[in-house]
Amino acid sequence: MPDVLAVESLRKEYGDLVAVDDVSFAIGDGESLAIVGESGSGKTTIARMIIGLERPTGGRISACGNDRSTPARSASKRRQRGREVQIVFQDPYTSLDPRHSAETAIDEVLRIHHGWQPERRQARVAELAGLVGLDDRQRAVPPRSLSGGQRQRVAIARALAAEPKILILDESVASLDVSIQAQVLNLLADIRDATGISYLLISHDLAVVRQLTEQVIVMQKGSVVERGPTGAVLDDPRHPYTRLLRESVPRPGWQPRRRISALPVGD
Amino acid sequence: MTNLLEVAGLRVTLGAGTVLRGVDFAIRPGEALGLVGESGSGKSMTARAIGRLLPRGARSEGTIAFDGADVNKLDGKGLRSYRGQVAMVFQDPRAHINPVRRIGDFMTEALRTNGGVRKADAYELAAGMLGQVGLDTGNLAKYPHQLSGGMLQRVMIAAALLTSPRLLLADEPTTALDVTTQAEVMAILAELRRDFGLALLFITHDLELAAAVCDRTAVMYAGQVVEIRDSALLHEDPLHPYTAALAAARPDIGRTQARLRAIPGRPLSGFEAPGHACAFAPRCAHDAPGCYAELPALAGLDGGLSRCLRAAQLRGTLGVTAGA
Repeated sequence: MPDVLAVESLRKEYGDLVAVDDVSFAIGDGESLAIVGESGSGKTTIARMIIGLERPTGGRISACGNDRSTPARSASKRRQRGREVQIVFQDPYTSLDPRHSAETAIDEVLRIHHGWQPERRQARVAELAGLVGLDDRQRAVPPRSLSGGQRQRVAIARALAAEPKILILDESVASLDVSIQAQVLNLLADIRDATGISYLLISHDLAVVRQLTEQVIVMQKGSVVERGPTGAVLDDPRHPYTRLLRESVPRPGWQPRRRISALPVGD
Repeated sequence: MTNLLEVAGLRVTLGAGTVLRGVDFAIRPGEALGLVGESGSGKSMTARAIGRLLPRGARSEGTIAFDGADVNKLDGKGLRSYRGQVAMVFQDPRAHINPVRRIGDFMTEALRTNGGVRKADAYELAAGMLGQVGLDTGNLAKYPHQLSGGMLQRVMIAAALLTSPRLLLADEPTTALDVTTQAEVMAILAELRRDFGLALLFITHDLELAAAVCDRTAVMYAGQVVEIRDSALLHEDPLHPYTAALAAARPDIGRTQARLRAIPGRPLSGFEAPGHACAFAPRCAHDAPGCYAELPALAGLDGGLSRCLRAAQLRGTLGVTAGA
């Protein structure tokens, strides 16, 4: 299978801090990969470099065979990149234009990326809204009149409107209520079945990673410490850090272990 | 054993909306009770009512009794003493600490102003408590921005315990933290709870976390408690269909499921809930016509409590393993 996204020896420095250090991975057509790690691991920085919000210090990124390690030189190149990779952020409260209804938000993307006539756009808006399960009322109202789960559906529909080959999900279901999170995860699985899209899931939630991806890389302080098929890595973690992550997940009978012991008084 | 805290028929009205529609539970001395719910369920409002921190204009009915005394009737000295006995820890430590004052200043404020402890003694107590949570004394001279989120939450816990409280209200204390830091903070909380004989009301959206760290777990939906159950039994043998559905909806770290068992619709908040029907019925896989005709009461069943008309009928069919 050809790779739809390839990242080679990616590096990002902020002054003396190495946020991402020699990270490589590839996602095949229709495959899904998760990047797992805690705050400061560099996982979100990688996403931002892939979509062009940050410029890599070193290394290469290519999507659909096209290099995107350096900024796009023209508006048409930028649009082309938008049709390759889209992103859904964690917080649907801040990532949507507060004045735009779902319809307007989706229509804008269709106009920019496909240049279709209004009738065709309208039909596609209805199709996309139906795909993510937004009803007629929800399509017409601004984000403030929607719940968190509904807003995240709008963000997903908007990202899909560009018909990308890769969708980056940056903690996209982390802030949702459990009952809504399950709906959105099922929806993402349906969309993948229907469109053959690839997901790059960035998450700290190992159960969500297990549900949605086949491959996983585990990052700590900017470096990859473990990689492999998701099931194998989670069932039989090899690196001590992956084991620690796995043991930190609450479960029945869980006894959280204290790593930092109490200090003697007056120390 | 008599209860340390008793909440009975607690109703809170904000403007025209009813946020809490009758919350009932009790905590025994030294017991950890989890309070679990989705957005709008009223779990945080319950904690604020207990802490006497309801927003301006909120009206509250029902009783909150601490050690037999009506909390809503406390004032002056009684209220100050209550605040010393009931400490709170919140989700975002940075929002609850003054950024321009040093950690030591923050930690010793209550002791010096309400406890009448001398400054040097207060600092010594604070240093000792910081040690308990694994932070050295040097942190007393630091400012909040110099500490990570996990360290700051440990400071908040240490500060909360300085007045030797008997009950700790912890509202999503680990939600903003990384999983390994969460495990650390929970381990510290468990240890201090044992050492100090402290009762805990642990508020979270995470059923698995509550069940793992609390003796009993109360589940809230639309401004009411719908189930209270021994945590050990909650997953295998829940008493309310909502608890069962919540547990079944979570993805499983041990396997990939063909489809998650999502709960249709969205969670209701208290002010949207119908007055004379079960609020969960429209989303429930076990609803019957009767569920839409009356509001079920929170009734005892097999050692727990369930607010479901069909609870007795559904016994043994709701557990995760039963494939509800």
